[in-house]
Amino acid sequence: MKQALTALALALLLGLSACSGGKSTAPTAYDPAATSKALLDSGAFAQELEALDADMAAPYLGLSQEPEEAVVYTSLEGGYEELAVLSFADEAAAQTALEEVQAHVAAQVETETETQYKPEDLPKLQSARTEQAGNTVLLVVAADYDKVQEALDGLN
Amino acid sequence: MRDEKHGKHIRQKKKPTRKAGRQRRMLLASLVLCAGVLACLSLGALALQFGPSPLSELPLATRPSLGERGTLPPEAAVESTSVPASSAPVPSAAPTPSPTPAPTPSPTPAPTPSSAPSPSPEVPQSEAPASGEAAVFDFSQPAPETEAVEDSWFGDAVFLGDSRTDGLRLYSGIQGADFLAYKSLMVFHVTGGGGVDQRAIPLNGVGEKKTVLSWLDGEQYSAVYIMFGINELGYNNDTAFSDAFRQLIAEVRSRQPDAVIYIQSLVPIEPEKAQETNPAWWLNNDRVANYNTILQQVCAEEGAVYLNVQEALVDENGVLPKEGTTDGIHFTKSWYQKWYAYLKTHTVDPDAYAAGLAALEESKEAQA
Repeated sequence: MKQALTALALALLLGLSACSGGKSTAPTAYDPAATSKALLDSGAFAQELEALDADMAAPYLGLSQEPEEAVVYTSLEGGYEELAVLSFADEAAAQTALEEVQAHVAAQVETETETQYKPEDLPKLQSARTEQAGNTVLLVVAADYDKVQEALDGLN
Repeated sequence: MRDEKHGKHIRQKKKPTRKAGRQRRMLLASLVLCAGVLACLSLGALALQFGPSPLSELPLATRPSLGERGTLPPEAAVESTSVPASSAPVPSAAPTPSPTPAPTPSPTPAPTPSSAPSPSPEVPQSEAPASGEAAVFDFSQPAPETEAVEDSWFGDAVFLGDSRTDGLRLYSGIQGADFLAYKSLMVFHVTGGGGVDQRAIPLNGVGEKKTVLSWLDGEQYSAVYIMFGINELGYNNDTAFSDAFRQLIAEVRSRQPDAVIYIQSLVPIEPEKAQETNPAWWLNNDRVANYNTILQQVCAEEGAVYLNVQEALVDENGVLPKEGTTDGIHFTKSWYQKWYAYLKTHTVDPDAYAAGLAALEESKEAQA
């Protein structure tokens, strides 16, 4: 019996190591230029967006670290639609940035809840897509998230 | 006894087959091992196939839900208190379409903002006299054009305003200045007048929130730029608007005694696009012109520099051109850059400003 348990534990260990190895080698990162272009072309946004200068990305999103590469578009109409694709030196920096981007979205939700400035944008904010892929971070606040998904699927 | 017997029985029975049992267990363990490896390889392949995983998308646990704050927007409070008896809908932020079926204002294709008298080019204000006397700024006139300052000039300036001013922060290329700008912010939110409470906002759009006046308590600036009015157009109460600006100038001056205070003119809207995005009756250029007249008068009487920003951003008809806006109210990137360029070429020397204030005080005392 003891030997059987030992064998089972060994199998689990091997399995776990195989799983983690598979994840770390996956090409999970967003290319800022390609991703932002695909999203902008997807028709997911109802407002006219304009690119921020790269050096505005960190102060605008409240990032504690400057991204190595950043593409950020925000609404020219005073609305909340926006997209950001950020690339960092490593995954740890991206993880921190993800939390900061989520705080940014939460602050936007709070602002809109308080001001009732663009009520039609609140559902967009509440469905905001924020995620980390490797050393990159993605933020999308859009009018049509199905189109967002299609655009992201098209990148693979 | 029975258990002991039973145990003995089992031991005795198993003894001859121990080797076979070990082999079965080894076989079972091998099968489990293979199954585990195969399952993990499959998971790895799936991860590769689907690319970036959305699993890292975390729920925004800190998001407040709608109505969580449990308070009416200040605009609603005003509606029941300070707005005049007219049935005018109180403006929320300018871009929010009024839900009230308001009578559509007749399009005013070319409302010339006549409110701001253009500065006399022959006699530019605050020009240093040839004799070496200190220049004295004339607050009754808009700031004249000056030599362009460097970008760094704005490093100790602060901008107060609404979403238009926030656009200046984001798109003009200005660097180093602080911004106390917030969507739908009104002068009443700064002073606490007009029946609304002071609103707490973050500095430069991020982080801790405090009232504008609290932020001004904590830092000294050499220039304070102010632009409010678009969101206040629907108040239909010129006196309240005028009083709020007078109070704002006094509040800023008490906190920033060495700063030059600039009041920027309102920039007219583009009527057609604005009508599409916000059909509020009060959003029109006649009312913009009226507020600009008030602002210039307040500047002349309270000693603040009136910056006629609109002259750089309107077309020959005095309206915001279509190419300068996406929604009739906010500007395009190039228009924000025009705005910034205007600021760089319309600055006032602090000494001339101080001399102008002294002269204004003398004048008021003489009249009293």
